[in-house]
Amino acid sequence: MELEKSLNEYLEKIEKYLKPMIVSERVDIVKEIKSEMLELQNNGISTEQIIDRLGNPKELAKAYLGEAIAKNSGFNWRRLSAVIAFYSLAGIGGMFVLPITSICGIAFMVSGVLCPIAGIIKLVAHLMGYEIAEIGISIGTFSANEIAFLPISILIGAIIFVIGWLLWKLTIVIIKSMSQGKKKLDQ
Amino acid sequence: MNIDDWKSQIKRGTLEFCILLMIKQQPSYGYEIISTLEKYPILAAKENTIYPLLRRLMKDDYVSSSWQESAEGLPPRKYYSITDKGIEYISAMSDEWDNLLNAIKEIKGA
Repeated sequence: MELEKSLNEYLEKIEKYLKPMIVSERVDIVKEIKSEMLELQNNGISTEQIIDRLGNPKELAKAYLGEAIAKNSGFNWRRLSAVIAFYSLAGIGGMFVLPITSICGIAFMVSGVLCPIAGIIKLVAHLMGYEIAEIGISIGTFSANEIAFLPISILIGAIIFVIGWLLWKLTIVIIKSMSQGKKKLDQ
Repeated sequence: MNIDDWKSQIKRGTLEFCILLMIKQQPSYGYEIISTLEKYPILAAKENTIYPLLRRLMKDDYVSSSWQESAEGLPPRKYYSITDKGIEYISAMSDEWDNLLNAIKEIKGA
């Protein structure tokens, strides 16, 4: 059984939008949609009606991505790419709110980790007899010496990291609400 | 009066329960599940709701899936069947569902 050209194009689009998913999962999703297409075609449903029934390929792909992102709340690179792919499909809200929360979240987490590392570098350098003026803290007239700087940098790093983590969580919550919103079920 | 809003909330909460009940009755494939749901306006949902939901139920180990060849001229189908964990989940949901119905009945008054 062969699919109509426009149905194959539909599947190619789904495949493209689902790039951030692992290959086996993506292949399985496309195969399942194809199976339904063939079934409908076999029942004498026209190509236009099939496409109409499945809806915009973007929306269908977004539903899969949304469910995959909402599934677990940990952070990893595959998930990040899924988040990016999702908000590229998610329209205006996704174009402004989500990039800000997700990018700030990641930037804060990275800065949070870098901060105590800087503290350690400064202390080690001091112990070895070097002074690194570029790394340090000064608030008004107060500036911490090399020894005091380490715990301060760890504390600040931890605070920044937590803010980043919360922003990341917020990103996930927004995506969840977008993908499980009532709009989808109302259609 | 906007009953549609309320209906979609009910649907969101019960779709998972109904799909699992269907799969428990007999292993089913996606299009079959969607067609059965179409018979009931309160439950009718599109592919972009059902397929991701099935995928999540699979990741949570409530259902398992396997591809099976169909009769000649028909495409292979992905059948979903219930797992032991899924049966436990259904039974817990059934209890809560009964609780809900009883509560409504009592509140309404005999």
